[in-house]
Amino acid sequence: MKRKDREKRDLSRPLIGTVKVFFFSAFLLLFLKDFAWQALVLAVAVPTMIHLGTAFLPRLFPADKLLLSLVNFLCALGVLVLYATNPAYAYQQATYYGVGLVAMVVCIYLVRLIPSWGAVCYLLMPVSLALLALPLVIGKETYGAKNWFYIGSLSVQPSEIVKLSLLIILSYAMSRRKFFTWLMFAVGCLGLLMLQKDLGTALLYYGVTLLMYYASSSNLLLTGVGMLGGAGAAVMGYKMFAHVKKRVAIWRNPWVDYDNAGYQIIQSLMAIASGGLFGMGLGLGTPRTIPVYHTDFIFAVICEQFGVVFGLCVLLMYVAIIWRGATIAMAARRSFHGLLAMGCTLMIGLQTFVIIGGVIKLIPLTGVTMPFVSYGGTSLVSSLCLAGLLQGVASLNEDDLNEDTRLAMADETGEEQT
Amino acid sequence: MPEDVYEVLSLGMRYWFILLGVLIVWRAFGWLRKDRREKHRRLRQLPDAGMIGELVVLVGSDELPEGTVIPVPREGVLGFLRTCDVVVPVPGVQDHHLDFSFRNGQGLLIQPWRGCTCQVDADEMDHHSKPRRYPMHHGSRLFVGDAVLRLRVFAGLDVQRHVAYMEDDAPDIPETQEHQGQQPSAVPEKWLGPDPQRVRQIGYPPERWGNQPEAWQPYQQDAPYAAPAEERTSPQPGWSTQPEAWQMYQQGAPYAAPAEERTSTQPGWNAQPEAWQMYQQGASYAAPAEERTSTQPGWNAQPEAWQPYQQGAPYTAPAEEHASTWTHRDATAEAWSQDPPAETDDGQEDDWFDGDVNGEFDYAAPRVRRRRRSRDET
Repeated sequence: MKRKDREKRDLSRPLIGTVKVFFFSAFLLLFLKDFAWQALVLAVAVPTMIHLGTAFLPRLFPADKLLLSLVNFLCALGVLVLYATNPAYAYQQATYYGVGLVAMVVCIYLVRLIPSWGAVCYLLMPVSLALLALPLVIGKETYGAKNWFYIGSLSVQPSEIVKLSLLIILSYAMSRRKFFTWLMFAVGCLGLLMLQKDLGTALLYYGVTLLMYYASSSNLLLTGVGMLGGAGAAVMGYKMFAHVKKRVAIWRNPWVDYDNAGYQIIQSLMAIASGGLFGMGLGLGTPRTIPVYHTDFIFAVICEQFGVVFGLCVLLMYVAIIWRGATIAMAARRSFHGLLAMGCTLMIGLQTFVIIGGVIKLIPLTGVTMPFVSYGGTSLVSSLCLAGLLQGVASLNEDDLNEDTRLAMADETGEEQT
Repeated sequence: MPEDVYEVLSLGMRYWFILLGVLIVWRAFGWLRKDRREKHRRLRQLPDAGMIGELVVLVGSDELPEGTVIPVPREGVLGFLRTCDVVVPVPGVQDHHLDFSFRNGQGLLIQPWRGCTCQVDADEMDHHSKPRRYPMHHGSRLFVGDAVLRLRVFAGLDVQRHVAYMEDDAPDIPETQEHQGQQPSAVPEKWLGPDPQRVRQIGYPPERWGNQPEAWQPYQQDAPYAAPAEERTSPQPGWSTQPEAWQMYQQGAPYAAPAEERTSTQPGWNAQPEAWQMYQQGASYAAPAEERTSTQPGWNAQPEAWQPYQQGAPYTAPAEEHASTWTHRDATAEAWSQDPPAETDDGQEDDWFDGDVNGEFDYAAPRVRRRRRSRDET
């Protein structure tokens, strides 16, 4: 086929088609295991949701189909892995997936329709800080961190919601050079997270803030000072908090305390190793022996079931999302939108690095979720909101480029511009 | 299904899943590569994508010679550093000198950084100036450090409302045709001072209104601001040689260059000495008859217009030509009746701008032509 013909071909259909075939065949296989009708429903429902998410949404606005395809693949992969390990989680996750898609559309429209974010930001600041302070008052300590609170049977992790407002506020304040506004807000958030002992999320917030500051100002000196400050804070945290010392010790040698503190990471490494290159097979293996297999260690489960090669494919999908996000950020016409897209990309990228790095013992383990895949309503909805903000900026970029093309064409053909 | 059968099926299917996984990644990266190529192709076609206009260097330095055209994005920072969006390597320009952002209907809003100053036309400003962000329009001159830059806004962008503002979300002020060019009229019977809301919208210091209450009433109706006599300290050259013009200017007349400054590069003066004499006395340039070989279409449709044109009347397009690509005209009804510069009309370079540092113009050339010019010169 000639190169021009290849370039004209729409690449979205084969990709989305492959994604749908993957999940249809995977759920069909799980249906054959015990003939549970729920698996058959999911075999139809998940590809339908993917179709709605990737083929229908772009009819409403100029959406980035590649980003949509990859994000939907990862979300559906989470549902699939959860169904293979514990179906009860999968049904909830599928519900959150649907809610998340709606939230994503809302975020896209917010980015497209709100012309000035000043008032929104000043409203978000106190609300976000209050929300982040709530677990300290009415929260419950889980795995050493007091970062959850409960409304009836519903558990909420406010740091996942505040993540979105942090990005919006930082983008707005940095684009307007309101140094103290974003600094005070970021320091407030970090302080509250430290009080909750939620160090993983604090690390994410800190890293994203610092990198966004560099992206907005190109000030290498202050960014370097910030990095040194972060390193100093990490050393202080190591000396002050016993559980940080323990995490680092486990990271260095988990076998010292293999049946207690090092149990999580050892089980994770054993699962990855037992999966080998091609995995143990979907629905086989013993993924439930890994503690918190459905949230923090879901990547280990993926590697065990599908193999390291597939795990690498999942990693490459995150790389593609980050690449795409950076492209969207650099193509943005307004600094607010550019910073917002960059912030969303950094948040997704850093979170993925922190959790997968922890699972494969590259860095000390911190309790954050794997974006789009891990079980958890707040996490999945907020991740899809991040994707929605990215999509919103991408659609505005596309509008701007179309407008430029239209103006140039009108000039060339001598048509009237309206 | 029996467990051993399922195990065999699942072990076989894992290769299928890996194949699909690899295929998805392969297609995703293929898509990224294709989009990258597509983006480069579109940017080659639209090198001005994302730009709202150009800054033309009127006074620069060795590193930034006169005549250089710098593309201006919608938002960014102007400064000395290479990391800035608009790099001005001229003495006196700070590393990060000022922020700028374009808003439809308001123009290119600029705000100097702390400790930096600049001047737009005759208005000096610093970080604490009111309004905080000052609008530049098509043709405005920016004095930053030792550099002088002139803004040219691309066609198709709305820069009609010349209104400064103080707040981000200042209400839009509708501008109607009857308000434009309105002259000061009667003094109000009792001067109560300016309306604070209107002052807030316009961003002009209220204390200055006290000097000229008669200007306040029309100004409230959106007429342009006319500075009082004591504020008319123009950096224009030539005042010293024509004190009578200075006096008129102080009374509100526009600036007219003295005769010795009128060294035009226009051809045709030799053929029409009487026009040269009129030009020296302040009339606008009119090409001689033998130069009037226009490439304009439409003469065939209106032969009666050709004769007065040859005798010096401006070209008036017939009605069917009124679908102009000059969007500036679409937006300003009164500009439509005016004639465009002849150089831009026949598809040549719009060199009407060059050398005319102090001249007034309100024509924005079509985007395509501007793009070519920018690409050639930068």
